Amino acid sequence: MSDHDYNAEQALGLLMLKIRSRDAMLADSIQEAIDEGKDISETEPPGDRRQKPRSYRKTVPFTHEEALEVAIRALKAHFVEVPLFINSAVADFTYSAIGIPQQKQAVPLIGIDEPEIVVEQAQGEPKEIDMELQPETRLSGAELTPLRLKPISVDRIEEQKENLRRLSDMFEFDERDPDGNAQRP
Amino acid sequence: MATLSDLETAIDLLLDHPLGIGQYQLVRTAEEKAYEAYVFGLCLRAARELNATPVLRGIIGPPTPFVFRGGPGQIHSTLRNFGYATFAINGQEFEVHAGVEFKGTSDMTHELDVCIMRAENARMCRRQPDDPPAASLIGAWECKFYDKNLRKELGRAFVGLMDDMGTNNRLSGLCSNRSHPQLKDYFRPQRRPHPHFQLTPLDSSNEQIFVNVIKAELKKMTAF
Repeated sequence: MSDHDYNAEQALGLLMLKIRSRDAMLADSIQEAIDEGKDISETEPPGDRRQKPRSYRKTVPFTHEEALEVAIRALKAHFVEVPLFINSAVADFTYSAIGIPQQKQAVPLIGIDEPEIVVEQAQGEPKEIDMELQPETRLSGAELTPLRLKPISVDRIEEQKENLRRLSDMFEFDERDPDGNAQRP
Repeated sequence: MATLSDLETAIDLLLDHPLGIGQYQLVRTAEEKAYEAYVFGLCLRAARELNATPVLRGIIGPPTPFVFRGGPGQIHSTLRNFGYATFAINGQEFEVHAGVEFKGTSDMTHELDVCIMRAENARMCRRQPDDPPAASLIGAWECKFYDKNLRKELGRAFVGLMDDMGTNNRLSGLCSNRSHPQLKDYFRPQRRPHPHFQLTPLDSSNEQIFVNVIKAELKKMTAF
């Protein structure tokens, strides 16, 4: 735990402002995650001694500290997890072979349910992976160029992990009494 | 003690990093697809760990590049050279597909994000164009990349989808990098899809559980 010259509300305000200034869509998505709130279990004291206390689910807003954690998790998903998905897929494809169909015969030698004869190549070599960005049936508008998945530097991913860790540390707050004095457990 | 100025610097470092906002803007339209590619890759890994060689194929020709669909599509579609993978274990052949539509038992079609199916049925549907029948399905996975808690309706929709896929399939699951506490309970009854939550390279044990579940089922199916 460390204390800072700002509180959680100010930190959240600054973080959201900075994200929004760069990308409103990302800011909206994170705000949505924050606004979902959380479920807690509330206990109602019994009306009289013979009754048991009753518990029920209640959705409440996040505290500012919790909202900062939600924002960090969302940023981690985009900045760390997505690059890791790409690297994982690229690696698993590398270990696979490419099937090259043998030249087609003038008269098919195989029946309708028999496997095609293929030559396996390039196992262990990097593969090109493209993501189509629109449905194949799209008629209108400019055609979007598919996105090619390229391996992402592990060092870069580690740097972002470290940046997120540093920010998380700066989002840890001591509990303070109403006079602003730190209260350590 | 950190000051507001230190905090500002730390936020800028994160957002302006090469894997920050710039990379996000480049891939945001494909984040969900990247997650599907990741789960597809885990299926290939399961096959490999059973000593099979996954072979990447294209519907028209060699998959160079391997193309993932941009939306739900038909297994026989030749509008692009869409990719799929094949592998064989103990003489039984299987195919892995992404974004392919299957015919449910009600005859309504359903898109499966990632699936493993019998290769024989897949070939038949390519040679005599048709949607694959529910009975040809071995495993089906809904893949959801989320930056927040999963939505409950995703679980309900997938349970309904799998209900229409009959009882022949052996594996089904909702894969996500995130989770939802109530959805875990919702998936608990028998025959409901498996909740593969927090399935991410950040948690290698969850990855291995996913791979092992596929391996165990394929082993059972192909045992002499």
